[in-house]
Amino acid sequence: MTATEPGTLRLLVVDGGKCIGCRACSSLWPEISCALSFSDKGPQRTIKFPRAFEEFEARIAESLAEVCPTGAISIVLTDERPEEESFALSFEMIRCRRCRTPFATEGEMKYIIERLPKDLQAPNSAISWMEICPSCRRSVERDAAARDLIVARSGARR
Amino acid sequence: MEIYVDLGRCICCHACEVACEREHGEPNISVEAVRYRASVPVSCHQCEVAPCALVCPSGALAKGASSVSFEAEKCTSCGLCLLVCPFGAIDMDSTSMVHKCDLCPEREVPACVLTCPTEALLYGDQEDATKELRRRAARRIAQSYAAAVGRDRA
Repeated sequence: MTATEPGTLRLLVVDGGKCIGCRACSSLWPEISCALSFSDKGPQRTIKFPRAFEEFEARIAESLAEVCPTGAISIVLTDERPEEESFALSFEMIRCRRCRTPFATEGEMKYIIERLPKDLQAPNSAISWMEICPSCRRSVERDAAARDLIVARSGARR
Repeated sequence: MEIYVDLGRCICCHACEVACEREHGEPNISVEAVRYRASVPVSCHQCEVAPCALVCPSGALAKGASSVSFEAEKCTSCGLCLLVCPFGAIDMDSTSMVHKCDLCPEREVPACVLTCPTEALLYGDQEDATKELRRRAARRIAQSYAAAVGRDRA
C-alpha cells in the first residue's frame, strides 16, 4: 500500500443490497464510462466500478452518488490506496416471457413494481406487461391493433 | 392532447418516422406492417396514469395536464422508464440519451401528424379526435352500403 496525502482519496462504496443494476451510474459521463463499465452477457449483467477516485475527480465521485436512484453509492474519504483498482457487481436477469431475451434485473423489476399504483398490481391485471421485454410489448400492441383492423376489413368485404 | 391513429388509413409509408427524426434527430414513432395486411404506428400514449413518470427517479419524466413531458437535463439515463412503459414507446440511443414523443411543443401540430399523407394520424383532445374517427367510420359504412345497393340494382 502506498500512502498518499491524508484523506484525499475518494473510496467508492456500493451497497450490493441496494444496487438494482440500472444504467444510471454507468451512463453518467462518457469520460468515466471506460472506468465504470456495464455489460450484459446472456442472463447476467455485470457492472464494474473503479474502487477509488483521485482528489481532482471528486466531482465525478459526487455525481455518481447523486444519480444513483436507490442511494446505493457512497463516497468515503481515505488516505490509504486500496489494493484493487476495481470491483464488480453481478445481477441475474429476467428473461422476456415471449422472446426469452434477458431484459431487466430482478432489482430493477422490484424497484419498478413498488412504485406502480396498487390497482395495477392486482393479480392477473395489466401488470403482466412487465413480464415481456419492451420490444415485444411494441409487437404485442401492434399485432392486436392489426388483428382488429384485419377482422374489420374482412367483415366489410362480406 | 394526444396523437390518435385511424389505422385503416395507414399505408406504412414511414413519412411520420422521417418527419420525427428530422425534428428530434431520432424517430419517436415507429410504423411497421403486420403480415403485409395492416400497418400500425406506435408512439407514446401520453398515459393518464403514466408508469414512466411514477418510476422516474430524477423527475425528468412528469405527468402534465395533457401529456407526459420529458426534460433531458434532469435525466440520469437509468433506463427504468424503458422497462416500465407498457407500450415499449421509450427508447435509448447509443449515447444513453432517452427519447420519447414530446408532441412537438414548439409546433401547433406535431411534425408526424402534419406530414402524414393519408391523414391517418390525428392530433387533438379525445372528443375532437374520436368525433373525426366516428365521422370517417360512418362515411365508410355509408359508402359500402351505397355500393352494395348499386350492385343489387345492376
